[in-house]
Amino acid sequence: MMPDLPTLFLQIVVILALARALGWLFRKIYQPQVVGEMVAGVLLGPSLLGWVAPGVYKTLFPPESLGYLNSLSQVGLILFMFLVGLELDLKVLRGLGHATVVTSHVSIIFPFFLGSGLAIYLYPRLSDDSVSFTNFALFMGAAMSITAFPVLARILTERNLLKTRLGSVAITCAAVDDVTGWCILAGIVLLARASESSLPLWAALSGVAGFIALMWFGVRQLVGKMGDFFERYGTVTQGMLVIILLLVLSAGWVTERLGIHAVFGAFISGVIMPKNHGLVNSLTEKINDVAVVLLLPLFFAFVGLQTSLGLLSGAKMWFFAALILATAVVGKFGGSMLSARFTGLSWREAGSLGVLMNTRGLMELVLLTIGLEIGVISQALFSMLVLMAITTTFMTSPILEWIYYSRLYPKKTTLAETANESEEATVDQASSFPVIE
Amino acid sequence: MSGWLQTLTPPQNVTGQLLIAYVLFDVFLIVVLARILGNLMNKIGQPRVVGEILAGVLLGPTLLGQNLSLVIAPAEARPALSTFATLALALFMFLAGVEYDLSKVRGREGQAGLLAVLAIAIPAVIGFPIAQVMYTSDYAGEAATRFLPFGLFLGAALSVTAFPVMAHILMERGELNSKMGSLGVASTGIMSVIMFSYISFAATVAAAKGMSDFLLRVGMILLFALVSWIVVRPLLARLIRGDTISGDGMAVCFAGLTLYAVIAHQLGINAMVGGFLWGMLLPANPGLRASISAKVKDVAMIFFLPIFFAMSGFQTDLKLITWQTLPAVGLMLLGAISGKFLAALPSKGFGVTWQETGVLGALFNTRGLLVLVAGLIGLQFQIITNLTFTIIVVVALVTNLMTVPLLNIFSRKKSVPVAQQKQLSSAD
Repeated sequence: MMPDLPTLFLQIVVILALARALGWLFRKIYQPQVVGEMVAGVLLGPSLLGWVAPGVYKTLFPPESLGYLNSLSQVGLILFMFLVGLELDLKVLRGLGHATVVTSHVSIIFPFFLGSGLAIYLYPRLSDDSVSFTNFALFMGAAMSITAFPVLARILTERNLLKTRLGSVAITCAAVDDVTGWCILAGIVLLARASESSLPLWAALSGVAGFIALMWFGVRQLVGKMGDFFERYGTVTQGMLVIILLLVLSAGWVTERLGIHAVFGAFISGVIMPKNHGLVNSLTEKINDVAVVLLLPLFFAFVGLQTSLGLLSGAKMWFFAALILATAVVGKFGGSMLSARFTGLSWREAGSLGVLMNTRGLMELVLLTIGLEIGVISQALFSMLVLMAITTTFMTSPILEWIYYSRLYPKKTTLAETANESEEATVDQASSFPVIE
Repeated sequence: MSGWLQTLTPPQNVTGQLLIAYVLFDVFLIVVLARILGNLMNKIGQPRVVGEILAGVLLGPTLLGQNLSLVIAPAEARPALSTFATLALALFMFLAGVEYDLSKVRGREGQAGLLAVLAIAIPAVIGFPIAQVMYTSDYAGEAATRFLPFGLFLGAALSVTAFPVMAHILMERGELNSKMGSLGVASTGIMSVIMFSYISFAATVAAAKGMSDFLLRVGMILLFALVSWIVVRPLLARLIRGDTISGDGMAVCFAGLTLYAVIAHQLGINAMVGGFLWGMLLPANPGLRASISAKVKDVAMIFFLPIFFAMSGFQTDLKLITWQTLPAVGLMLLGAISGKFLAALPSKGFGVTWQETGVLGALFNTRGLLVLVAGLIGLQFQIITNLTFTIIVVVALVTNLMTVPLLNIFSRKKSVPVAQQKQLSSAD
């Protein structure tokens, strides 16, 4: 009944150590920590460890132990998605400028159509009849159009860009993309699961609509009181934390039973929380370390264990992978840049915005895991898309430096200096913008 | 209503998405129930932990019956829940180690040490005659082919004291700096170390295959403790600095915690003891320790720990206690309570009043949740049966419930106001 404790704990030790070590290394080269953690996951999987030392790999990650690792990582993911939702303030969507509206829409629609178009080519080559073309195409579209809101927010904060025009447009676009992307994904999950689900599609759809309405118009008002409580006590009390965690759990359960994924419920619970800065910060601080430092690397490892770059054998497979990467970059980077340029940003700002929007980070991994889980994509395609997610996230920092900093501030600011300055800057900015580490 | 409930059958083939839904549902249920009962107990001036243990029992077969308990938490979901329970316990023990305050012990090693040794040794010795009476297949598990491990484990269950509760109660009564208070805190501090050594010892005896194997294990454990203290502790002090902990620092804490749990497990002592040791090894800086504990405590205590209580409740069936087994329950209770009060007696010689001696006895007698840990280890080794585990749960509940009324009897001061006890988290 008890899980095999030494195996599970040893897995946690190895995963945590490698994730932190690579995260630290990547920070040294001005990359977001999360890229290192993502890479660590892939290295622990069959792509490297399973290939170089299959014996060690089998001892460390025996197939029967993965269920436990998965359940831990799922809870980590649910808590993390709550934090992401918590960080997202829908107020930024109010009173949007014309430019932002157009850019954010184009930055979704353009890559979405490119992705779906690519699906026409890839469907006969990388998929089979068990998946309907509609689901496959929709999923490929969604996979291309996602933006990692938390990673983007972190980059902007670290570089002190939040208050600039570029920063505010980027954060708004990312927020819109995030919400739209998740809606599309929820739709796909519903469609894909409709055949096996006990709920008919119309019931599930109205259930989801009812759930969102209940959360937005009912629960949001209730938890809104928590802002007042926070003002009174000056801290998140245990009682408040219990209620919040219970809300996350029950929302996750409802969305899971409705046929969409538990992460949606968690995300929505985060979105409806009052955006009182003190409350958001103090809540983030309480949940962050267990969820993000301890449990989230387990999720990356779980993704990595399912990623097998060995499946990409032969020039043809690598060609597909390159094609996916190219489509993703052209769609997201190109689409955002052009629309931003035409709505009045300078070329440099537009280019920087394109790069920022191209950051897919771990949001893409969440989406891909769900896709693999519901069987829309194969493991080979999953591996290609993971590769694409890591590459596009990795690209962001160097290209941003090249386009934005070196030209806009030719003399003074190099990226290294900004990073140093921002270390102090993060401290005072922390009060105005919570950062999930 | 109950007829309809009995017709429910546990769900089959709980896998994939359904499994996650069940885990979420179960955690929800456990957290709610533990919170409500914990608050209720708090209202009537009892420690929260009593309510939380009860919440676990309510979800088990005692009230619902095995069938209905399986409807709520299907067999397939239990391993996943068990994973969380394990992690919860590791975090809890880690926190206990982090909040362990060595400075409270310094300067009182002599008197407090004597009290501590007695408070463990007397119940442990009393455990042997009780174990002699109970050494039948009803109480002793399949693996207890020899008498010694069984006796050791019963003794361990009797000798547990919940050290954080004690410090907390004394602090709230404003007696932490009195002669009795400082003596009590120092002795429970030492006691916890002896207690864990004793539980480890019992586990080692249970796991060892012969005398030479046993000696080898003891040697390795001593070496492990020594290396940790002399090599790892100074290294950690260099690695983690400052008054607040960074994300990297937390990662070191978590990774070290799991590593120590694995090593302790492989050495044959329980993984939880490893977590406690790791917590103690961290730099002594109180600010740093407070910062670490603040980052983990709430989520660990509110979210994860109730899952542990549920897992222990799944193993408990109060219906197993019948007229035939009632004498055994009485015997265990008698041993548990008398042992702790006897141990408090010598404190009279150290210049405290009789009343204060009574207070000390009552505090030593508070068992918190650690007694369940000792019981679960015994269950895991199959040294004790589910019946014995159930008896241990009863002992835990009764001795925890006794503390506050006893304190009111022994001390003229009023009991701790309810409002102040709000801060008594489940850990303590």
